[in-house]
Amino acid sequence: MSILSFSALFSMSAFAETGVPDHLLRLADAALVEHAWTTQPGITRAGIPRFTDPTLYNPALTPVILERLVSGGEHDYVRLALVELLPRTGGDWDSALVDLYATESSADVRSVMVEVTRRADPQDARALLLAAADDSSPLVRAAVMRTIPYVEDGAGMAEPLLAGLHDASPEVRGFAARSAGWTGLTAAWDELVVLLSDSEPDIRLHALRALERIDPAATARLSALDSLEIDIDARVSRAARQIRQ
Amino acid sequence: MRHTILALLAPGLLLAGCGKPGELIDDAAWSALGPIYGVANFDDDDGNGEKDWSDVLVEGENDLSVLSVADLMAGVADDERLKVGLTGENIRVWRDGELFLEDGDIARISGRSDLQIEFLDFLAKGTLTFIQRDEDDNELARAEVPLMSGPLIINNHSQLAELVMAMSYTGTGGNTGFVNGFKSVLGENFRDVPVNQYGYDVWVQDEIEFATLTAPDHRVDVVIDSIRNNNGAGLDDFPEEQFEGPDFARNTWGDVRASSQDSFGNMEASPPVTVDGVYYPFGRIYWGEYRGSGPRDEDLLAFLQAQRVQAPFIHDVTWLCVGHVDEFSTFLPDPNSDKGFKLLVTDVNEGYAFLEGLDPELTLPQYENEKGYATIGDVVNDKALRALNEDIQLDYLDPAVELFKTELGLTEEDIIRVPMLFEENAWCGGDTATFFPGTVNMTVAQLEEGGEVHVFLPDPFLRENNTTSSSARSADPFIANFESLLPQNVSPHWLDDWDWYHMQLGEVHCGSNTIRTPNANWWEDALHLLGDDQ
Repeated sequence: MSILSFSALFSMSAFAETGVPDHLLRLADAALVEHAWTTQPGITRAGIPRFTDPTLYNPALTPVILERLVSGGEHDYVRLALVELLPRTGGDWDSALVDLYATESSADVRSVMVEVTRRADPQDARALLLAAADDSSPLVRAAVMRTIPYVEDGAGMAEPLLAGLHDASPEVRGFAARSAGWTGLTAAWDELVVLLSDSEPDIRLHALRALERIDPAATARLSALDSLEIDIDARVSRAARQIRQ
Repeated sequence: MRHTILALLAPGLLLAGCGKPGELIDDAAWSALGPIYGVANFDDDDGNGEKDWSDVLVEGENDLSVLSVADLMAGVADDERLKVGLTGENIRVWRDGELFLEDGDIARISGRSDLQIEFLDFLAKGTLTFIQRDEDDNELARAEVPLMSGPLIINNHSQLAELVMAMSYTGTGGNTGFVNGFKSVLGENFRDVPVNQYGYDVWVQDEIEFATLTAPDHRVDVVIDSIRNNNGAGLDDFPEEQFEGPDFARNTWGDVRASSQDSFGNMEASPPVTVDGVYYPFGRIYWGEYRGSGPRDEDLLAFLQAQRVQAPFIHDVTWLCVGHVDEFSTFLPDPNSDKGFKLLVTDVNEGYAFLEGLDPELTLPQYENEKGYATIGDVVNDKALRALNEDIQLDYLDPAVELFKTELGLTEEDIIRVPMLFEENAWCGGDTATFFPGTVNMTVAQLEEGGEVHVFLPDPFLRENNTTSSSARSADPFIANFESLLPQNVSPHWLDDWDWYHMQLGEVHCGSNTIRTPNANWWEDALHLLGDDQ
């Protein structure tokens, strides 16, 4: 089923056979609720499931999507697309997501919960990000590091960012470095200098760009640039040469 | 006596200047023999499911190059003999419907029937050696006729468009506006195919790549069928059902599980360029690598490298969630420019410069709900979004432009930098897609030489009135700004691709494809790239 075949599905749906909880049918037009409960995500050009049906962008459907997420019996593949859809429904989903995160078993779904917090109420976003910073999955922790700069007061979340710079996962370290730069986290300077020697080129690149954002003049004087200028990764060597110029 | 054949023989052309019986065949007759340039017999003229080069001579065959020997034979006396030998793999010579020569064969020619040269591979090379002998078997004269088949050539935007195609869905919520936008401009040069016949897979750019085989008086279109779908899903059967047939070959190179980089939105060809004094009359192919890994279909890459005339080069698309070169670059014909085209490349610095020139209070209903940005001010004041884009420009777009300049011999004057921003997408691991519908992800279609260049572009909806009326679009500052960048003779057509394409991380180019007319002759313009200045 593809992106807009939802429309065909919508017009043909038979309410009685789809198992929509009765209380949801009272929230909006029954056919619309039925549709929101049954429609399947399309597959983006990147192979990612996504709902792009504009009829779902309706605040009245937010509770339907939330309940489908919890009790709809959907595969995680659909559930992460349901989470990604929530902000576009335009309803009140933020606070519910904080609670749902705590009980969510799928790391894939939890990581998308983290990513959509960039559109959440700042307080809810902060609560979820702080909880997820200690998630057992590096996928989720990387999403936290990535998302922090996008939320209001992200600059005030220094503690998880600093911890992320020491994470065992290279992806987490890399995004922590990137976000430390984006938020101007001066307290991360020493750790970022250490990461210039990380074995992962993405981390070296993010650390270098972060240091440049925090203090470009001091970055240009770093002795580590000598080796970075001839780094095997073209992005890193190019960035090092640019900083020295 | 040894003759070197310099003249070109158009197939079927009658020879002139032949000798008389009892005399040596004269130079003009020898010279008129060749070289012979042909096409690989890669299609399936009899529709039996076998490529013709795997068959015996088939009914309807029209891809063989003809070498007329009638006038030569007129110069051969009764007591003389004319022999011909073939050297060269992957070439067969037919005569009177029978196999006449293969590699290493020598045969006596009697009668005046034509020789039909069949090439069993791309860039196959060989030689036909004609020897005139007297009755005592003494050699009187000899001539060698070079034989060569052409490379497979990927189309580029400098070629006229013959047929543009897209997938259509006419039901509720369908993409009728998108399809009609093409149809109203291109008329019979546009074909829409119901998407419900192909698993609702709209990415026709990704599934197939059009190419051609040409030779004097020959043209065979080729649709390269990607490994993207090889299990019957989506558009997998589209090239077989819509195009494959006589004079339209289809082939898949490779048989591995595809990555996104195997989609053909990630393989494009530039217009003709001269790089460091070397002329590429068919441009150069480029594709993208994601984190050091390009397309997994190494068979196809090796094949395209081996064609030599379009010397591929590689971009880094690591910052992109989909990871295709058509997400940040395209080429547009511009007859008024030195090189005849412009490279259009996305540029986030231009994106911010443009946005900062707008009223920050300008409301953006299309972006408020779907992306969380209610006004222009919300976009330009998002520090994280800006930092993301600054990094992309420095680490990926600037190097991409430098690479284009180096590999295609371009200067800044050849480039139009198109305002754009990128955004991270959920479940893309920090990789990005365009924030606004990707303008350079356009379809380019010039139908007539010297005529308008039609470009089909994704509507940016950067306006307060987010309907698709002409008055709404005329008030869109993004549209006005982009149109001011276009070369003369380019006609922009804005299509609503938001729900079906943009939100699915693709745009107009991704959702369309184009068959084009060959506009150069490799046997005249590209022999220097084939190491064969014959």
